[in-house]
Amino acid sequence: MRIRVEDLTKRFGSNVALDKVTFEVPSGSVYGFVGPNGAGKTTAIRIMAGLEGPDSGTVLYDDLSAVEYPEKARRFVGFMPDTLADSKDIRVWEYLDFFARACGLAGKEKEKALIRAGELTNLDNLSGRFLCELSKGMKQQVSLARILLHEPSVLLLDEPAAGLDPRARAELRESLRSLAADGRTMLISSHILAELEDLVDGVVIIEKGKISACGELSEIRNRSASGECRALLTFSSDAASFAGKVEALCPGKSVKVHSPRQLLLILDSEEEYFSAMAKIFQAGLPVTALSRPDCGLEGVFMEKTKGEVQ
Amino acid sequence: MKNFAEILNKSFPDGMNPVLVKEFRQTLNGRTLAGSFIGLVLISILFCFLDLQISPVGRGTGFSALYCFIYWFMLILPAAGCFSRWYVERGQDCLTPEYTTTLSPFTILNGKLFSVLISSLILFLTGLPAFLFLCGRWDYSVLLLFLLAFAFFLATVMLLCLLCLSPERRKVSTGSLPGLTLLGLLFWFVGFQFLGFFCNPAREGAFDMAIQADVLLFSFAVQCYFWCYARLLPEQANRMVLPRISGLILCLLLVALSGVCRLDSGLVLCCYGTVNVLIASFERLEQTKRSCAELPGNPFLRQIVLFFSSGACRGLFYGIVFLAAGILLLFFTDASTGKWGDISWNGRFAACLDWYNPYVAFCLYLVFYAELLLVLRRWNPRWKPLVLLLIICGFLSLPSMLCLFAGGGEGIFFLFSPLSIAFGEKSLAIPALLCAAVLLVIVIQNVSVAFFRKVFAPRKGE
Repeated sequence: MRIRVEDLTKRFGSNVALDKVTFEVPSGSVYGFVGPNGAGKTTAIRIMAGLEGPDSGTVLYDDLSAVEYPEKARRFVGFMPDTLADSKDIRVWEYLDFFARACGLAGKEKEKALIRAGELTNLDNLSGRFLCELSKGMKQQVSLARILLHEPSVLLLDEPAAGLDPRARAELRESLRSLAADGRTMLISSHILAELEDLVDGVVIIEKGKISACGELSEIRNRSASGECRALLTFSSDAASFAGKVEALCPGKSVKVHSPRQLLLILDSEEEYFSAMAKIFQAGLPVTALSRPDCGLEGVFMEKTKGEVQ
Repeated sequence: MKNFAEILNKSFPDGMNPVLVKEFRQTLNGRTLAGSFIGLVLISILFCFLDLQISPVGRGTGFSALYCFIYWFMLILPAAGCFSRWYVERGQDCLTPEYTTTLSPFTILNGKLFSVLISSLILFLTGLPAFLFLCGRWDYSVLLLFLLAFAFFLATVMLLCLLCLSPERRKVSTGSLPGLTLLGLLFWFVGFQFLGFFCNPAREGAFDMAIQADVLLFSFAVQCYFWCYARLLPEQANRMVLPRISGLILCLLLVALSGVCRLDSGLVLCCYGTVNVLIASFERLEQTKRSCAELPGNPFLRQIVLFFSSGACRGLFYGIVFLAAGILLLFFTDASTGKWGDISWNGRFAACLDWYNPYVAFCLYLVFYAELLLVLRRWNPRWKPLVLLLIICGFLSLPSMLCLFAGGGEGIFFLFSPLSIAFGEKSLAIPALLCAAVLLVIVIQNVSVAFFRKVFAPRKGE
């Protein structure tokens, strides 16, 4: 199911949270929704989930407007907020049972949905525990299971990995990957760009309520390519002591100390990058890792945003 | 208790209201209901034991009153537990998942409400036999008053419940403040009623007061219920029709009830309710594609739908202020006796009504013109309050001046002026005011959207 957001505008008093936001997520693809704090991501996602109304504009799921008919849109949209209710006195199975009933499931159909959602999110051991006893990661798994009960074709996830430890993040990533493989359309809002990078097909970048960039990742990279090429070299010991040697191997190129054990090398083209790397490795410098920050989502994000909030 | 909870847990059929099941499970998993239940049973046994030990001569009315207080306190605990839970959930924006399901607003509201009411009813029935035993006999008057007090309690619970659930505000504090205030009022009312009832052997006026308090609270709670319901619905042409029409029917019922019960304040309630409905209708319907498509083609029907299609947030706010002030005035104005033991409620009402009727009429004027001010500001936000004040002064003074020139307190202008209040023509001023309000609403709902929004349009060159 395709998501299309058209001219979405939302004001809170004099503050314009969303200013004619327009973007599209093709059917069956996974898009990241990124932007600095206060950019308007959560407001946009809440409107898309039918929880709030915009001042103007619309959100279309195929041809159905979620602004005009939010009650219909809820049938095939699953919205996962950034935090799960710290509901008292309710067990995980009771919580999921409630949402299964709320989705109109009953009898064996309900049981199947609960089992399926539990398997997808590894909840088998948690079903008897109280919700308020769970860790943040476990709660996110429960939240994910909740939105899968009615098998929505569109998933809107607001900061799903926020506050999770590396293990919980890895588990969540695996769950999301298997969901993406099912052909669901997903929009994932997140600050953790490295997590999104190998999961998403495209990205929507928003800043100060306006869209900075939108489209397939490769497409955005090509669009924003300035010809400049950056290499981040990680050394086994103090990086500053190798700066002179790297400068000598790449004369006229900028070499900066990025961190105590990292040097940032800025080159003019891809060809220069390959020849410089060959020289550095032939010289036997103790490089333990090599990365290209400009090629990743983070590079695109840094280029497209200024870090301004409203 | 755990076993009991497990049995109940497994016996909820799939067809039941999901919210009711969830809330009831939470109540059973929690400790408040069980604690209140055990506490109530123990207290009942203790009081009954003491009652059997003490001779009827030595037993004072304070003894029963004390039991009443404890009884009502235990009764309110589970409800307070639910409110506290919802308070936390609202604060953490945790009700959001419930609002993203396909559950209808009626299902959500009813589920929440009934879960509280059922647990209250269980406790109520637990303590009822002991209560009647302590009152000495199965006295019809005692039972009736007790049921009225319970009705009052239920109305208050409903009201608090709805205030906690209101989707109007994302923050809890604003919604919970009136809720907690009313919670305090509940203790005050119930204690006051029962203390007066037990200290007054003739029990004169206690029923009147109980009935009026119930009617007042129920009318407010029902309105609040429909308001919550409407706010949970998406923007559509007929969104507010049901709440508004129900509100009007309720007002008419109140008129009938006041006639049957010979309650003068029924008219006041009716006026309050009607004006509240009208005020709520002042807010324009957002003319989205959907609402425009759903508006009836028939011009007459279209006017009716437009009339009843607005939000009720402001109306509720004014209603709260209006009611709170009215109740306080009614009960605190007359302090001629000062003793709880020989309060003559009828005398108090007679004394209060002299103040109350002009007060109500004055409030109606205030509400009407305050709303007019809001509408004018919406019409043109650049208008400063001073300009608006001048306009309102003009509205107030022009009819008064005209009616003075026309020969004193007669004629159509008189009805629209504050002079009508001063000269005691309340009965005519209020219907005239309502007619004016209706006309105003029709005008507001029919002015084109562009007219309201022209100030937001970019200027040339921008």
